[in-house]
Amino acid sequence: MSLLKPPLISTKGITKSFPRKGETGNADGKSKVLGGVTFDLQSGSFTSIIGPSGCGKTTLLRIIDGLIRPDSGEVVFNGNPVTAPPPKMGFVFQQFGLLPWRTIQKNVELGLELRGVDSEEREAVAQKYIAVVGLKGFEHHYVHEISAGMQQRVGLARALSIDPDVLLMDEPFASVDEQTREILQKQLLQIVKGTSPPKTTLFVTHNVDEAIYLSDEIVLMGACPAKVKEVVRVDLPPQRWRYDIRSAPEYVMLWRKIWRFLENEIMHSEGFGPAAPGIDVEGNVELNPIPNETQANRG
Amino acid sequence: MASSRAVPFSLRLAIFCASLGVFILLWEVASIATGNSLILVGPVSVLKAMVGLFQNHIPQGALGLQSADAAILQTLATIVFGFGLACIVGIPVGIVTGRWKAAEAIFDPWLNATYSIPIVVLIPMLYFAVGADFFAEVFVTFLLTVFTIIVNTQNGVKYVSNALAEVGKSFGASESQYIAKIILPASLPDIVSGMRIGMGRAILGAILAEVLMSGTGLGGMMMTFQALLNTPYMMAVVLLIALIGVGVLQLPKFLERRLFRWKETESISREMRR
Repeated sequence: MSLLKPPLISTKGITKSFPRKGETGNADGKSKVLGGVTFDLQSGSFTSIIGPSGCGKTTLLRIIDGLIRPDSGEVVFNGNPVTAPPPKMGFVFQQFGLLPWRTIQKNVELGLELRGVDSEEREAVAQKYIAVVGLKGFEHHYVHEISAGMQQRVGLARALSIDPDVLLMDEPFASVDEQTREILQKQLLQIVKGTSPPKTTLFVTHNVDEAIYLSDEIVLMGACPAKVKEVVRVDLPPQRWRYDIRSAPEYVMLWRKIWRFLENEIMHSEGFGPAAPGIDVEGNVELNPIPNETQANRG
Repeated sequence: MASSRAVPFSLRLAIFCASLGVFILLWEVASIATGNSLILVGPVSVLKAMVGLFQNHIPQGALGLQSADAAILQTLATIVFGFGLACIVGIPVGIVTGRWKAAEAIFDPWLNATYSIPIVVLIPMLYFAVGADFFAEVFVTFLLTVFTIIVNTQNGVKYVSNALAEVGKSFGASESQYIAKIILPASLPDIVSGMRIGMGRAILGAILAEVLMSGTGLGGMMMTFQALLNTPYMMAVVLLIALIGVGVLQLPKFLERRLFRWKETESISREMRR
């Protein structure tokens, strides 16, 4: 059915190089991080981008938001090419990007303030999203007075406050501890699936579990210069927080497939040589189960 | 063991008074031991001279001298106007040169060159151009202060984190919004620290101008007593200048306390300090 609907966002053949520091490298002194990235994003979907670290995932997200320009190729959002950050995109930054001199309330108001929304409405909207991310009572705290997990919820509330059609999230939970991260993932899913229509979300991560747990679709990106290698559908029920999905066979199969893809890309690009024996490039060969006697010896 | 609490104000005051007491005592003892008022005068004679100044008991030979009140007022006015002007000019110039590479390329060599010139050599030129009036002295004070303020502001603006710049851009900030809502508050700590250093230079500038130009104000008064070899009165004026310094330096300190409550530095340093 989605074939008939035009995609909300299309990236078409995006390339990007950065000047390389130091003597080594290509003759032109540039390292190419994106080597022609093309994929579509359907309205209302939750899509993760996963790939080896340093493969330009964050760069891609910045290009989609119009924060930086690609060397070639283009991003089309709602039928229009993106040349500057569109008002209907909300960005959640890896390092939160909160203004330390502002209280939580004033941080969430920032986007509306820049849009010239009057102070009364601004306050009301900010209060609403502060409540949505569960930070009621912390409105007048300064940034350094709350934990990293709470700070990122402020970042999320700020992005939601401008009522975006698209949420762009750049490894938002990378600097949050493991336990808090699990809770934040669940909360995020409930928020983006709970709005009507659901927020289209593009989520950059290097965490396989996180990608599967959150996404409808996972874009697998290769090592530098990165291209889209495959788009994987996640056929798990949408309201995932209700189920123990990590023990579902589909989940395990998907996990293996994605991990093998990543392992292969990393082995190649980091100079580990060919992938370990027993794992083929397609990731179709299963790992051997643990032999019974070994298990018995452990007991 | 190391305490994690801040030292209470009363204790700090007591420590300061004790250190002051010891200093004054040593000073008096040293002056008695020296026995030559041209080399070292003791705190008692300086205090006497101070009282004399305020009661208009002007020593012989110092005819036509301003009253102490008038001199203090004049010097303070020179400092305030010179410093104020330096802020009004220096902060915008610092923002512009910190924000735009082209502006930095145009202004930086000039700024650096002017910064390196000892302003003192310009004073005679200024004297012959406009005379020794109040504004000429304000101008000298301004010149000595403004570069410090420009350089500090420039640094603050230049090193606003890229992360905050991206936030502004992503949420659609216009250039003026970006400067007002992100650049300025982010670089305020540097601006205020520039003001703090600049204030010290403004005091120096005002005294220098008074010494070399009009010969009035506290600077002029100091030189008059020096010429008369009246060390107690001269030291009394020096003490007044120091007190003015302590007073006006409260302004940037006050700004720091009021504006930067959002900073977390205190909680770290308290733990780390004994």
